Amino acid sequence: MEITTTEYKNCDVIHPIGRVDSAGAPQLEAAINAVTQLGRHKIVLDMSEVTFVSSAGWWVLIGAQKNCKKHRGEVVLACIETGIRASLKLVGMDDYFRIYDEMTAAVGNI
Amino acid sequence: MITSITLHLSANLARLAQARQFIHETVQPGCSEEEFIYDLVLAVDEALTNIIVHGYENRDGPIDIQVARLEDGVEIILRDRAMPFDPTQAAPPNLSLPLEQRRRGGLGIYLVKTNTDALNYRRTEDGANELKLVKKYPTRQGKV
Repeated sequence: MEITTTEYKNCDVIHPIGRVDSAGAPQLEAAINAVTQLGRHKIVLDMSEVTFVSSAGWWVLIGAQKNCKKHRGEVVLACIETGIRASLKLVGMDDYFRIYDEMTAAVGNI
Repeated sequence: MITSITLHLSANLARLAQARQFIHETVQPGCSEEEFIYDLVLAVDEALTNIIVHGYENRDGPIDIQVARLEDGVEIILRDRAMPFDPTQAAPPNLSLPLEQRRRGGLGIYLVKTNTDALNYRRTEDGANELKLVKKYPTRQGKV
């Protein structure tokens, strides 16, 4: 899985490409931790090129959301594919995140 | 006549991508609806992760994935030789907890159950775990 992180003035955008399964979830966790360890806790996750997320991936996002909220920050999700969004709802986690259909709205509102 | 195709894998999280591709390719000729395939692939991925991480405890071991296309759906049988474990008996997770109280665990099996129409487990006489997942085709699109 390829992951790009871009630092903006008000937030960081993390853009993973590929599938977030149990093998790839630790990689996403490391990318998020690299941002939060700098004291930056407003993160937009650009999911436009994520084609699969298993429960291991959702747990990484739950951990990140808990940590960011503790530091007055937040993780927001953007551009989630329909099937992935359905499983996010199925596991009862869609209420934990603000979800945007467009990156500009996500970055502008965090 | 129902024919089945089997993939032999070693228990390793790095093999999950190969397993997902195998499910996708064998299921698609029967039903090309993306939501159906995604749900089934996710169920198998979660079941395999459970076998690899909890059954084999991340040690090497054999896993067979057998896929059969039925008239009205797909049947997938996962066989492994890890310690006995019956996922059908696992307690469901509490999905209505607030964020701060959510704790890791239980979601994988929940996704296996909710993304399939039937889930059966048996320990075979020769000491293997056999988990059978059945998912019916969506009613608006039957077998091609």
